[in-house]
Amino acid sequence: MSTPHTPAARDTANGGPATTDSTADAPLVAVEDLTISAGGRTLLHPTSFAIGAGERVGLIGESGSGKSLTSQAIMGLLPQELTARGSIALAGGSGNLLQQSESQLARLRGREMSMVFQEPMSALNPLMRVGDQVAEVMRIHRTAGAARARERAVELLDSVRLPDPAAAARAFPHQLSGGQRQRVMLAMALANSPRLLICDEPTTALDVTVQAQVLELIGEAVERENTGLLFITHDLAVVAGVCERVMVMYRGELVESGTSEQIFTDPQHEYTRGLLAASDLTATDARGRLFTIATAAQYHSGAEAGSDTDSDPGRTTGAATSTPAGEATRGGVGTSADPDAPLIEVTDLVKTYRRTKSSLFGRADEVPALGGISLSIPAGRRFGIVGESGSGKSTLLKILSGLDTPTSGRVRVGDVEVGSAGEAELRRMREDLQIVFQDPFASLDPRMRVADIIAEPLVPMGVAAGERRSRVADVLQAVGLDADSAQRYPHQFSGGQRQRISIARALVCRPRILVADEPVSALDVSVRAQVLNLLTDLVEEYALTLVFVSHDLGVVRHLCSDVAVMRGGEIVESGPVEEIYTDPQHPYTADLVAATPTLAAVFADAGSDPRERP
Amino acid sequence: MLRYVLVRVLQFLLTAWIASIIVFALMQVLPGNAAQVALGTNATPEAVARLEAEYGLDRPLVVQYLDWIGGVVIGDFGRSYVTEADITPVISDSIQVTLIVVIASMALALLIAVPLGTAAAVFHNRAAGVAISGASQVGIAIPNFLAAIILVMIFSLGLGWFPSSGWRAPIEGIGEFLERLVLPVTALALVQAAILTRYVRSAVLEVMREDFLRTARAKGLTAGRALVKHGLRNAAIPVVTVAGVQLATLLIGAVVIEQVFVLPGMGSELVRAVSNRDLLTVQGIVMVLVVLVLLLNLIVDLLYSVLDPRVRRAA
Repeated sequence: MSTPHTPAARDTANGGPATTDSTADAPLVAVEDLTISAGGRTLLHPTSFAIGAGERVGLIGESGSGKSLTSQAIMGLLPQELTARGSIALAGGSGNLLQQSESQLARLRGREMSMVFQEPMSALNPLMRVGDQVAEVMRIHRTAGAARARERAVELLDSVRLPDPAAAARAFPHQLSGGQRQRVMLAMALANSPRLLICDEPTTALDVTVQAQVLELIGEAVERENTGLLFITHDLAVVAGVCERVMVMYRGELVESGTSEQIFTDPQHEYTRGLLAASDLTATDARGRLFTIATAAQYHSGAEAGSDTDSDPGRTTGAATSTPAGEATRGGVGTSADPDAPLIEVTDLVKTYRRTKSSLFGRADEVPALGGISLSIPAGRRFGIVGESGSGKSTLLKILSGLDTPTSGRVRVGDVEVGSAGEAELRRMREDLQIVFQDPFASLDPRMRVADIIAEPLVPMGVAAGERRSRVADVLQAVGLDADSAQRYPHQFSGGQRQRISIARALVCRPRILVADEPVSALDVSVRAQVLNLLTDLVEEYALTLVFVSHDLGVVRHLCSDVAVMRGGEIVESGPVEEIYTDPQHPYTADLVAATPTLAAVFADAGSDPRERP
Repeated sequence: MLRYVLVRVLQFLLTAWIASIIVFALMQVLPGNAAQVALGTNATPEAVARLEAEYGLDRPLVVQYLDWIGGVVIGDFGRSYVTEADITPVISDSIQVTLIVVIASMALALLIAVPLGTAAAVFHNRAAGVAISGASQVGIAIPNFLAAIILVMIFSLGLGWFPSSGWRAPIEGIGEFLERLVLPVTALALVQAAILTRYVRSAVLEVMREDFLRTARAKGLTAGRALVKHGLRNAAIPVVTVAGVQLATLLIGAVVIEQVFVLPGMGSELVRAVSNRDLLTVQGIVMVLVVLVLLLNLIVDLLYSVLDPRVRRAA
């Protein structure tokens, strides 16, 4: 970053280990003994911290750790049913924010402190033009008159680099993409030059390349205005790139706090160490598995493991294990006529969707989703498909699993031509090919017992009830769930456990192919490592061919042997994963690799603040 | 946007045309022809034949249909076989009464339901909210004719505040007009308000959970102002759907209420025409009621696109 720094920013950034002391003269926000409870249950144990003017502080932790509650408490946006005790003071403000009325707090929100939320798709009013929504924040606080506010709104939209800001101001939210909406949110948050900006997982719902742009924008804006930043995320790599100080929350407690350097090179708390180990997709244990919180002790501190990532021994172990698994499979299930033929073959696949007709007599618009792609997956390979939203990866998956039909082209799975297959053939194909979906919360029927969910694929296959019970018990054990889970309902399980249930359901009919559609993108980092390890174990144990769709290049690199990179309905590049990752040929692949925040990059910079060292 | 309006209007015309065929066909499948029905069971075959010839009922059905619908399009519903008077003035007089009653009822129902439903949502976990929900539950269970009778007993027979029945046109005296309107409109509106209150409540509850409401508060609005400025218009969308459907049932409800309060509306005319065995008048009134319902649906559809920009583009 070559932009000149303001003196204040430099001071706090170079503050050294005891960062809290460097903001000695009245910090921007001082949180003391903040406690949040619901009924008798304590959700946040007494927590104290301070953020100095212009300081960039990261708050990390997994879902339910209390990080979002903390930010809501500062903004005065806690749900009514929760009670907060302790004190939150804003520099130059009038005492404890927790004791102020809604109207007093409203005067501060959007003016002194503002917030960018996680979900850009639902955070804007769908019925109001974007420009009006940005202008509103100035009208509320009377920082600009009506005409001036409209002008400023366009300027602000320009400053967050929306192309054609005047047109964007006239647009409604549904006409913008997720990344564009998040820029609008940022423009809104910055409109009155607040002293404190809170970002709650602002890039989690965005594609990696968009994420990189939005992060850069946040960094620039905060630096320009010398705004204090509280950046909440579960992604360690993201926080390391943005913040100079990091706080770690775990089960409603602030367990560790220090400079980014300290946290990433010398984590003190067990959970922080585990989180760091589980986040590092390039480091594996002796069996080629990712580290989890439980096995983190064997993980050498990030700086060591990461300083020479490319020659990391763990990585080689990981790559080595994939080969025997592949070999075993090829011998094991050679049921198709020609054993050397690829198990899955896609030839010139085209899919065009028809948009609903826009007039009674006009022609329907055709939207190409897949523009003639070909790929072949030999039995036993672990094939990754990487792409951002709109790349066509989900469409490809749907056609592959017979849930949608191609416009033209051929798809063969085993000996079944999927495109032209009848119901009976498709049913036979699905015994061989099973899917694990992205959202572990929405993809399980909430009114069915786990045993029935898992056994369901066996019913059309005509498997007897007794046999079904024993197979359910087997797969439950295989995915690491207790036998008594069978009689419970999905809502009684956590996200990671539900994804295990999904995997069990997929495996119960002993398929040869497991298709996984972003199976870990909704999970916390520590859980992600466990589920990925489970997948690796099962792929080996059941000699599966894996088709793994993800937006996350790091995950695919760890798990897969081959990868195809998709963009705009085309495969721009494909080949062995390590080759693609280290030596991308297509500029888009290179962009994707560069945009993905990795801990390795963080460690490479360890010992230096990435923002301060040129 | 213009295209959306055009498509909706075309759909309306098409549906109305199909409805006219159905209405016409229904009258034909009734036993006996219109002339026979009009003259009664004692009529001589000669008398029936004379009436048939006079009104062209001996022509092929297609010709009769085209003749009828051609008239309806230019506002001529034909001449009654029974009273030998033109039907059009009967319809145009009574439609005013019915529309005034229906629209006033819906307006009153919304005036009650929107604030009450919103309050029920905002205070949903407090006594006030629970009380409103309970009251609306009771309101839904009361049929509007019963409400009408109770209102008459209290405010007309008991307190003597309002006349128990009758109608004055506005030009005959606005005070007398309003005085006679209060009870029938209230009777119709109370039940509607109870139903709509529940929908407003759930729509507002839904919208209160929306992320953009939290955004509005983060921008510096208090929770209450955020709800008024950003929430209510969003909550209006599902409410408009229900209100549109309810308008159609109000129209039917008006037929009953007109009987109770002796109003010269379409309901009263319909009942009279049926008891007079005046098939052509019945046919005309039913057709107008059908077109009114379709027209209300069209208006609701167009209202959507005013309320919701997403509908504008999708069309």
